[in-house]
Amino acid sequence: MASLAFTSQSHSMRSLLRRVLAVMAVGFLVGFALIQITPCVLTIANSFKCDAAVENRPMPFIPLPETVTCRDETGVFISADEQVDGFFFRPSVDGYRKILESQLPRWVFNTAFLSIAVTILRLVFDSMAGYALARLKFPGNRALFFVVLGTMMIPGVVLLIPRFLLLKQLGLLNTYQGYIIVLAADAFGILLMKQFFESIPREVEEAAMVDGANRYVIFFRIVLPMATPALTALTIFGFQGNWNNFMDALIILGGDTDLYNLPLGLTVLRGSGLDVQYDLVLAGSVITTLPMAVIFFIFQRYFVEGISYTGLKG
Amino acid sequence: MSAATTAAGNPVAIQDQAQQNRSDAFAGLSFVAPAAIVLFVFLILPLLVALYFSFTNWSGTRPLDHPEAYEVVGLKNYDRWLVSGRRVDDFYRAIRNTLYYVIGVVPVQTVFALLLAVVVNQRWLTRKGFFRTAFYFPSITSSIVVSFIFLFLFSAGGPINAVLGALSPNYEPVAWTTNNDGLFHLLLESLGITEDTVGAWVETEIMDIDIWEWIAGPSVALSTIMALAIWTTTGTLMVIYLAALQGIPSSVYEAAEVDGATNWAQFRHITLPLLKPTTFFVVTLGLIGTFQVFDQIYVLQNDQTGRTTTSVAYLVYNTAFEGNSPNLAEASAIAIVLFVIIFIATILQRRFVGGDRAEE
Amino acid sequence: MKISRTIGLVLICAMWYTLVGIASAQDMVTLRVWTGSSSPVENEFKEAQIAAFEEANPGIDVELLISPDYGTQIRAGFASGDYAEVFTVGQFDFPQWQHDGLLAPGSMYIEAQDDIYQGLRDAFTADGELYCAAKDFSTLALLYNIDAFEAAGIDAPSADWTWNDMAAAAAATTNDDMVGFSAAADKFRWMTLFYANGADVFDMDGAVAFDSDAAIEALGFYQSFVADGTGDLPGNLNAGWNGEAFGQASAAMTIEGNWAIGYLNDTFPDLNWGVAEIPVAPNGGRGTLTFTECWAVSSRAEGAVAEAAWALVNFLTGEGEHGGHAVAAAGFGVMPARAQFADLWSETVGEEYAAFVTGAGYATAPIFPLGFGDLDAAVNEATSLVMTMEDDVADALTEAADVAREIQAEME
Repeated sequence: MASLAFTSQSHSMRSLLRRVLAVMAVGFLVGFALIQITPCVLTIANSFKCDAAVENRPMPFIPLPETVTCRDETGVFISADEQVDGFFFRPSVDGYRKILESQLPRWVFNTAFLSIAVTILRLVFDSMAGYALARLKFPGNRALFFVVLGTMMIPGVVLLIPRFLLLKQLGLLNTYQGYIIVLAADAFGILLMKQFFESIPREVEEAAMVDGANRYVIFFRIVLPMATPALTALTIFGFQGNWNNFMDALIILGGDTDLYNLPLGLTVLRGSGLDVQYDLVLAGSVITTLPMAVIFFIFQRYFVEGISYTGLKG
Repeated sequence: MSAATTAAGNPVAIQDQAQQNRSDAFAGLSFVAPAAIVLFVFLILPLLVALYFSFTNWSGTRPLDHPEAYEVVGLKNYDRWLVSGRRVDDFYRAIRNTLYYVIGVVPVQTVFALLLAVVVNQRWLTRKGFFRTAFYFPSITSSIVVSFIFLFLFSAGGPINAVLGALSPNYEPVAWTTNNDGLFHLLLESLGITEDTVGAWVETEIMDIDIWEWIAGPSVALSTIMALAIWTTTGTLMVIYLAALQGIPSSVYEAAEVDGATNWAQFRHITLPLLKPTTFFVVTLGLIGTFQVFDQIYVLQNDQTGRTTTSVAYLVYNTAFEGNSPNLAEASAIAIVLFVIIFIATILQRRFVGGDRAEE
Repeated sequence: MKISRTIGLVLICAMWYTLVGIASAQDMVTLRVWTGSSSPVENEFKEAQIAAFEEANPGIDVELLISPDYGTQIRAGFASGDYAEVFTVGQFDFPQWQHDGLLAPGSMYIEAQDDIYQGLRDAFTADGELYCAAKDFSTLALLYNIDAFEAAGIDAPSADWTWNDMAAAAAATTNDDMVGFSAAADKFRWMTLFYANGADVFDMDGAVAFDSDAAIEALGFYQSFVADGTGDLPGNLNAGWNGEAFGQASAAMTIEGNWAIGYLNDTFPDLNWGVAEIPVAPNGGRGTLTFTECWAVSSRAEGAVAEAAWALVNFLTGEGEHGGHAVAAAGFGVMPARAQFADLWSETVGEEYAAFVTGAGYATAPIFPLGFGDLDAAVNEATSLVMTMEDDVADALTEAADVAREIQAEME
C-alpha cells in the first residue's frame, strides 16, 4: 500500500509514531478487506472446478494453465486426481458453458431491465414520499409514517398468496409492468430518504420560499440535488434488491419463462435436491454477484464528503 | 415546527401562513400519493387479507372459489399457537431464540457498520473504492455460497477449530453448527451452577417453557448463525452510515481541527452526535429485520438444532408451506403475532432510546 | 401496381392465417403442465417427453412450466382456482391436495395399474380410489465403503445381513479417520428399521402404536451407533448430510437413497462403494422407505381437455416407450414406478445398485394421515432428542405417540 498519503508533515517523533500507527491501521484494514472478499474469491475459484475438486480437501485454489472437461468420453466424471495437485487445480468451464447454453441473455436482459426500471421509479417515488414525511405538514403525516414502518414488519411469506390473488384480479400477472408497479416504491427507501431530508438544514428551503419558489420547485431543484449520497444508497439497494429478487419475481413473473430473471432462471437450471451441481451453483452465483459489485464500485464514488452542501455556504 | 417559528418572524410570511399550510398539505399529499398507493395496494391490502385469513381455517391450497373453501373460526389459530395448542412450546421456544438473536445481532452489527463507515470515509485513506467494495462484498455474496463456506469454516475439523486448537493446547474441538448448549448455560456451568444445583424454581414453567430453558442464552449453533448474519448485514448498514456521513459539512471538522481536537475527540463529539438520528434509524431497521430472521436459519439449520435455532419467521414459513398439513391460516396468525411484537418493540425503542427526541 | 399487389398479397396471407388459425384453434386442446425443477438432466428428460407427446398428438398443445419453486407457485395457482391441467404431486402433499378436491380420480384412466408397485399405489390412493400415476420413485438402502470393509477384513453385506452383522461391521470399520455408520437425525432414516421390525404408526385396530416395543427397538438400534461411538451424526463428521459424510470417507456405511448415486459418482469419483438392502430385522422382517411423485390431472379439467390430460399422464407414466421405459433407460437416480422396467433400470445404471430397486417390493411410503401435522413435528423432535443423546428412546417415542393419540381423540 505504497500509495497511501498521510496528512502529517512534521518529522518529529510524534509524527513517526503516528506514521507507524497509521501503517498498522492500514495493514489491519487490508487484512480485514481480504477476509471480506475471500468467500467471493473462493466462489470464483470453485466455479471453475468440477464437483470432485470442489469437495477435495485441502481446498485447491491456484489454477493451472491447462483446462479439463468434467466428464470423459463415456460420460463418466473424471476423478479428483486428474484435476487436483496439492493446492493447484486444472480449471474447467463446464459450469459456465452450461449456463451460456441456457437462456442466459434473456434472463440478464430481464433482470437488468426490471432492476433499472424499479430503481429509477424508487428514486422518484421514495424520495418524494420521504420528503413529504420529513418536511410537509399534511393530514395523517405521523400516522402514515407508522403505516410505512409497519409494512416492513410482517414476514413476506404470508403475503405471497394474497398478493398473487390481487395481481391476478388486476391482470398484472406475468407482465413486466406488474413487477415494476408492485416494486415501484418501498418502505425502506422512503424511510431512508425521510431520514436524510431531516438532516438537511431548513434554512435552505426557507430562503428559496422567500424568493417565491413553490414546494415542487424547491424539492426538484434544490433539495433533491443535495440528496446525492442518500440517492446513491437508494440506487445501490434498489439495484441489489431487484437483481437478487426471487420471491416477488416468482409470484409475479413465474408463469412465463420468457420473463424470468436471473434468480428464477438459474434456480430452474441448477435444480433442487441433494444431488448438488456445484459447477452450476457456483458459476451462477458468480454471474449474479459480479454485476452488483461493479454497480456498487461505480456508485460508491458519489459518497464524497461535503458534496451535498456546496450550495449552502455563505 | 421550526419552519413555522422562523416564518413567524417574517412579517410577509404571517399573512401567507394559512395559505402556506394549505399548499404544504396539498404538496405533501401529492408527494406521498404514488408511493402510498403502491404500498397500500401491494402491501397493506395483502396484509389485511392475511389478517382476515388468520381468523379462518383456510389450508391455503383449496381454491377460494370452492363453495367450502374455508370457515371463519375466530381466534382458534391464535389460541392454538399462543395458549392451549400442542405447539405452544414450539412457538415460545421460537420467540426465545428470536429474542436472543435480536439482542445479540442488532448492537454488534450497528457498531461494526458505524466503525467501517467511518474508516472508509477517512480523508487520508486512498483506494476508498476498493475498501468500500470489499467491506460491502459479504452483503452481495450469494447466501448459498456463504452458508457453504460457513459450514466449512465452523465444521468440527474446520479452520476455526484448527486455529483455536493451535492457540490453546487444551482446546476441545467445538461442534459449532450442531451444538445446542446455551451460552449462558455454559457460562453458569463454568461457575459450577447447573440445573440441579440452582434449585427447583428453575423448573417453573412460564408459557410452557421452564425458566432454566428461557435463560439458556443463544445456543452455540445459533450464535454461529448470528455471527454469519452480522458478517453479511454489516456492509449494507455501512452504506446507510456512509450516506449519512456525507451530510456532515466538512467545515465542522475543519473548525474542530483549528481548535486542535484529536481524531478521537472529533469522532466522539462531532461524528457520533450528528449521526445519532442515523444510528437510531439503523437500529430500528435492525430490529425489524432481525425479528424476522429467516434466510440464515433456513440455510444453516440442521436436523439436530431445530429447537435452539428455529425463529418465529421460520415457524411461519414452515407452517405455511412445509410438512404434512401446511396451513396458511395458522401461518398468518403467527405472522400477525410477530407483527404485533415487532411493532411494540419498535415503539419501545423509539420511546426509550431517545430517538423520537433526536428526530424532532 | 406494385404497392397494391403487395397489399393484396398481405391481405390474402392474413385471411389465410386467420382461417387456419380458427380451424386449428377449434381442434387444438391446450394443456398446461406444471412441475418442479429437479436435476438438469431430469428437466431435459421431461422436456423431451413432452416434445415426443406433442409430436405424437398434433391436436394437443402442451405448455410445460418447470418451476423454480414449485410448492409456492402451484399453491398460488390452487388458491386462485386457476391451475395446470396436469401437474406433479409429491407423496407428502397428496393427502391435503386430494382432500382439497384438486385432483381428478384416476382409477378409470390410469393404465395397467397392477404393474405399479403396491407401495406407490398406496401412497396415491384415498378411499379406495387411485388418483395419481406414480412417475418414478426412490428408496433407501445401506451404502457401504468397499475399501473400508476390505481394510477391516470383513465381508461385504450379503442379502441376509442382520442388524447384528451391521453393528459388528460398524465396530470393525471404526478407526481414527472414520466411524462405522453415519446416522442422520432424520426420521426418514431410522424408520426404515422401524418398518423392517414390523412397527407401524397405527396397529391393526387403528390404535396408535408409534411407541411399540418394535419401534423402540428400531430407534434404539439406530441410536446405538452414536451411543457406542461406532457411528455419528453427519454434522459431527464435517458433512451436511449422510451422503457427504459417506463420500468423504468419514463413515463406512450409511442409509441413503438412490439420489446419492449421481452425487457420489460425480463428486467422489474415486470412492469405491456398494449398496445392500437394509439389514434384516431381528424378527426376520424387511423394510425400507419410498419417496415418490406422480402425475395428476386437475379436477377442473373437463371433456376433451380431461381426455387429453389423461392421455398425457399415461404417455408419461405408462407402459409405452416414453413412460416407465424411458425413465428406466435414462438411467438417472430415480427408478421407474413400474415393476416391469426394474431390470432395465439396473442394467442401465449398473447391477451394483440393484438393491435400491429390490427394496421397492417391500417399501412403505411414510405418510402420516391428514391432520397429523403435529405428529410430524413431534417425531422430528423425538428423533433429534434421541440422536443427540438428550432423551431416552422409549420416553421420546411415547411422547410422540401421545401426540398422535391426542389428535386421534380430538378427531373422534
